[in-house]
Amino acid sequence: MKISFRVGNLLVLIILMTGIGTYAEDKPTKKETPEEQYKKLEKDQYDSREKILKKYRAVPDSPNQKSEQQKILKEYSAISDEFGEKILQLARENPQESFAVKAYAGVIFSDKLTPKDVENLQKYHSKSKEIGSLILSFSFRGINTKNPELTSALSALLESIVKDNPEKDNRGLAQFILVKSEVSKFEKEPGNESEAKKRAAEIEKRFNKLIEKYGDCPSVYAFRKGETLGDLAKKELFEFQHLRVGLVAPEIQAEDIDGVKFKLSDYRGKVILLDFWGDW
Amino acid sequence: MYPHERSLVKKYKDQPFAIIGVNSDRDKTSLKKRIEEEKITWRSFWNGPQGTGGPISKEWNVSGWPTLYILDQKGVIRYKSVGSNEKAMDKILHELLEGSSKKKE
Repeated sequence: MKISFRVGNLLVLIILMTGIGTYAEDKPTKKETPEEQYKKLEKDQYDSREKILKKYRAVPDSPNQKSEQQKILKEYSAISDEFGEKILQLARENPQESFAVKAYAGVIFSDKLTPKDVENLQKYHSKSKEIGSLILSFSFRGINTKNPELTSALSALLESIVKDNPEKDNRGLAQFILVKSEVSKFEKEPGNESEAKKRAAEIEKRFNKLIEKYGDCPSVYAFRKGETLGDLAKKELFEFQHLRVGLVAPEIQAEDIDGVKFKLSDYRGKVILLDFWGDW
Repeated sequence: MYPHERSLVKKYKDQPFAIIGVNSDRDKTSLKKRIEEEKITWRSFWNGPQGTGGPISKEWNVSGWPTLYILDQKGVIRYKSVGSNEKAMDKILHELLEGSSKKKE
C-alpha cells in the first residue's frame, strides 16, 4: 500500500513536469496574431462587463442600494476605460489590420481620437466596407470638433471615401456628412451678406448633387422605414433653406389640443419658445 | 423640461414672451390629464394622430424630441437645438427680452 502510494505521487509529479515543459515550449510558437489579440480583448471586455452587471442586478433592496449601485457603475466605467485603452493601443500598433476600423469605433467620439488615428484610417481603410458604420455616427454629431487638425483629418477621410470607396452607400453617406458639416460651419459663421449668399447657393448646389447622385442610398436613420438618403437630403435642404438661424420661421397653422385652429404668426411681436414635445 | 418652462412663464409673465408647443402625443385624452397634472398653461399645436410622424414635425424636419426653437419678436429664428440646453436658452431669452429694455438697470 505504502509503495504504491509513493509511485502514484511520483507519477503525478512527472505528469506535472511534462505539462510545464510542453507549456513552456509551446508559448513562443503559439504567439497570437493582432486579430486574435483583439478578439480576446473584446471577449474579455464583454465578460468583465457581464460580471459587473450581474453584481449590479444582485444588489439587495436596502437603504444602501443606490450607493452600492453607484459604486458598481463606477467599476463598470473603469473596466470599460481600461479595455478601451488596450484596444486603442492595439489598433494604433496595427493600424493596417482590418479590426482597427472596429477598434476605432469605440473611441471615435472620445477625446482620445487623434488626427494621426484618422490619417491612418484614411491611409488603410478608406476603401473598406466596414468604414460605413464607423462614419455613420458623424451624420448626427458632425465632424466639426474643437481641434481644427482633427476636423480637417476627418474631412480628408470622408473625401477619400467619396473618391475611393467601392460601396456606393458609403460614398453617399460620406458625401452627406460633408455637406452637413458645411451647413453647420455656415450656421456658425455665415460671413457678410454677399459672402453668405454665395456660400448658401453653393451648399444648395451640393445638396442637389447629392440627391441626384446618391438619392437611392439608404437613409442614415435606420428606423425610418422606406426613407432614402435622397428623401433625407431633401428634408435637410428644406431645413437649410427655411429653418436656419437668421431666417423667418415658416408658418404653422393647425389645431391646438382642444381642436381650436390658430397660427404661429398670431404671436408675432412676442419672443417665442417653440417646443416640439411629447409626454412619454 | 416642464419645471424650466414653468419658471420661464413665471419669470417673463410681464414681457412679450410665449411658449408654443407642438405636441406629438397620439392619445389626446391622457395628454389632457397630463397637461393638468403638470400645470402646462401654454398652448400647443397638435401634431395629429400619427404622433411623431405628424405633418408639423415632418415639415420642420424634427428628428429628436424635444426640439426647441427660439423666435424673436419678428419671427426670426434665433436659436435651435435638439434636446434641451437650459443655460443656452436662458442666455438667448435674456438677450432678446432683457437686452432691449435696459430701463431696469
